[in-house]
Amino acid sequence: MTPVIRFEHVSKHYHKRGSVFSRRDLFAALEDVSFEVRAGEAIGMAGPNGAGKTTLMRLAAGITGPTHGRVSIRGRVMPLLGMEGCLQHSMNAVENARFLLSLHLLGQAEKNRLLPRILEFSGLDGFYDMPVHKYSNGMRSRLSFSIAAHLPSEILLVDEALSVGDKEFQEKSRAKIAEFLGAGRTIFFASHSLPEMRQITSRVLWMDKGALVADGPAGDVLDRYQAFRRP
Amino acid sequence: MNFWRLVLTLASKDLKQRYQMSWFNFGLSIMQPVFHAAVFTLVFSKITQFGSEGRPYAAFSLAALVPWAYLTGCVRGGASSLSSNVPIITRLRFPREAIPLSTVLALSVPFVLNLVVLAAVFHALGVPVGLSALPRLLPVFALQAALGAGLALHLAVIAVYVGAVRSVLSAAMQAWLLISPVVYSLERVPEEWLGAYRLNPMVGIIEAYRATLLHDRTPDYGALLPAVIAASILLSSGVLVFRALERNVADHL
Repeated sequence: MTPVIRFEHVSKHYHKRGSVFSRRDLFAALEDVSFEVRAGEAIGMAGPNGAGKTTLMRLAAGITGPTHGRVSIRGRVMPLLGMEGCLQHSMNAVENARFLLSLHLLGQAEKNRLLPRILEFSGLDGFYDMPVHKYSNGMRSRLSFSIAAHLPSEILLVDEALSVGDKEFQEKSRAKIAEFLGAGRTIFFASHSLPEMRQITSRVLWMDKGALVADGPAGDVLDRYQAFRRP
Repeated sequence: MNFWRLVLTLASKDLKQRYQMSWFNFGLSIMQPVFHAAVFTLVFSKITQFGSEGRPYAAFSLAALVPWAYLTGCVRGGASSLSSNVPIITRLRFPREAIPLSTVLALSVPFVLNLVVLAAVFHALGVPVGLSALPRLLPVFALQAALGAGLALHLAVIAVYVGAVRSVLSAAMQAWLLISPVVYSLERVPEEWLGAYRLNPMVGIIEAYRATLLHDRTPDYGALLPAVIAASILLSSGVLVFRALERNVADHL
């Protein structure tokens, strides 16, 4: 099967500070990373902070481009990362949902079809017409997760997003992820919760200091990773 | 199709966020060309004489200040368009060209309101401005919007990488104002300079507004050629420059 995500010798360098034009002060967030993801795979990403997990996600989502190498993506990518930040504070839940659906270039019919599902899933009944700046953090997370989870996409990037909302909502989010997996959607999962990663993913990329340390079956890689962290 | 719907959505968001907070701000921004016209009238019709083609100076300058305000809006708004949409740019993948284009689209709303204010001011000054002027202005407005969009596309991405752009812009816009027939009449430009002077794309555009609004004449469409050329070049190179530079903007916002 053709890969849906392909990284070929990908490096990403950031400027630590200031000028775009200076060649000094470059910092390699990713260095020569290569891997492929096939459709329907659930891939975990393990590694300490600063390992390059977020950079890798941003590249896979097409939010930024690689400094060297090539990133090829087939299909629509939906990042579930920090989506709360995308909510427009002066808009209410319905307007925000419509806005984010527009950003994904969905047509009117598609929006009208998805909107009731998003609202129902959010469980924010009675608060749909309240501007989001009056929402609590929990409510914002629920709304943004609901919108993101209903956007049509072949590839999902999940970054610690399952710890959103109360216990009941977390259960619902987990069930949603399971539903995605069942439906053969590709999932990229970055988390510090290794038990959760074991449960969800079948393959794990272990990242450290911008390099790919290991890439293999989830059980094996996570065993090695845990042994490495707690010798 | 859905891309243009997104541009429309972003434009209405832009307008709401800009004006929702205060009607005072909204009124102020609509009245801005009138304030400028008032100041210029005081200075240029009383202190020095620039000529106003036989019309009240206030009407004469306002006819140019309204399209000028639109151009300034495209330049300023374009340059700050990406940095005012950081959250969605750094978290989602979508056609980012929609952002500067939506800024230009949103500016057509204050522009139309400015024309309404202009009509009121003209009426008060006893200068007739007919509805027959509107169809003749449409192609001119389209051209001006294309020019604005071309500039906005360039400036949107360049401003992300080169922070100094915005301060350079205000100086550049002042210089551009001085080499355009806004506060003075084209008739005052020496004959031997006219050839070079007319290369400025805003000359043809401003003259078209004056011809229709002030003199109720059909604009000299031939004089719009520099604007047509500038708009085509800026718009097509704008798309290319934007696409080439947008890839890494999220790293610098």
